[in-house]
Amino acid sequence: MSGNEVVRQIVKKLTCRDISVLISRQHEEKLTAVEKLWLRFHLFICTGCRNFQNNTRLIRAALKQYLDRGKDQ
Amino acid sequence: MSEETISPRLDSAEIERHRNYLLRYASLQLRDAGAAEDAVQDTLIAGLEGRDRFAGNSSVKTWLTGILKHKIIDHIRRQSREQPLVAGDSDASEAEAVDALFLENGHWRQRPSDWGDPDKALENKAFMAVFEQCAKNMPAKTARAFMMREVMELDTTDICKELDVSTTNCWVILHRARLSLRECLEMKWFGKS
Repeated sequence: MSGNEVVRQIVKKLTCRDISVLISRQHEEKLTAVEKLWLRFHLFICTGCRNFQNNTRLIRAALKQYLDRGKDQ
Repeated sequence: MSEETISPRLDSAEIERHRNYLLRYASLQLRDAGAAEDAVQDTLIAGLEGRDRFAGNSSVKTWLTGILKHKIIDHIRRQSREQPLVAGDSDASEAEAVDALFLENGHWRQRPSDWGDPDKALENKAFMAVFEQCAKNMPAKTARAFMMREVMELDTTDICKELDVSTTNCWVILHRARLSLRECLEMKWFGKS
């Protein structure tokens, strides 16, 4: 199997659930190069996980906004 | 205008005007209005008493937040000694709640939706009220870890130490926290608009 084929096999096995774990962990620390690659491949083909990633970013931003300005801005 | 210019000596009004910010900070983390109030009061007093030590190389807000962090950690430690949060049932039901979001094959049961332009939500008062409600409704242990990460900005090593769980477990809790907060916002806000 070529390198690309290996990556393709791994990516196929990673589910949205696995990917959501990586997306969450990305808020805690840097992922490894391989993990980043899996993530990028998956996000390329999966709208749900792309949305999940954006949703978690909005949550982080909302928390900052809430702290700074409260709910009655 | 959230950053302030530094005067050589802080007056009490300058310290006092951060009360509301500190109160939101403490409430998110402690989820107990009384305890949050106490921590903030102690912080403001410590700030007033120690204002001569304020070096002026950070903003007053940052300096007070640093003091508050210590008060909060003290409170959490005291509380975990006196009445530890038990895992047990709530832990199992939270794990089930995560299971429910995915199909057997690991796909989303319901695909997360596109929330559109973040600024549009963030500028909306009604959204921020829903956000507050969702944040405050998170299960206690999950919320504690999540707020340590997002509000106090501790890294996972410190969070794991405070909560006495493994790093992997820490990631599991934070993952769960984001999933559940996301789900609440989807249901109470984005799914409706």
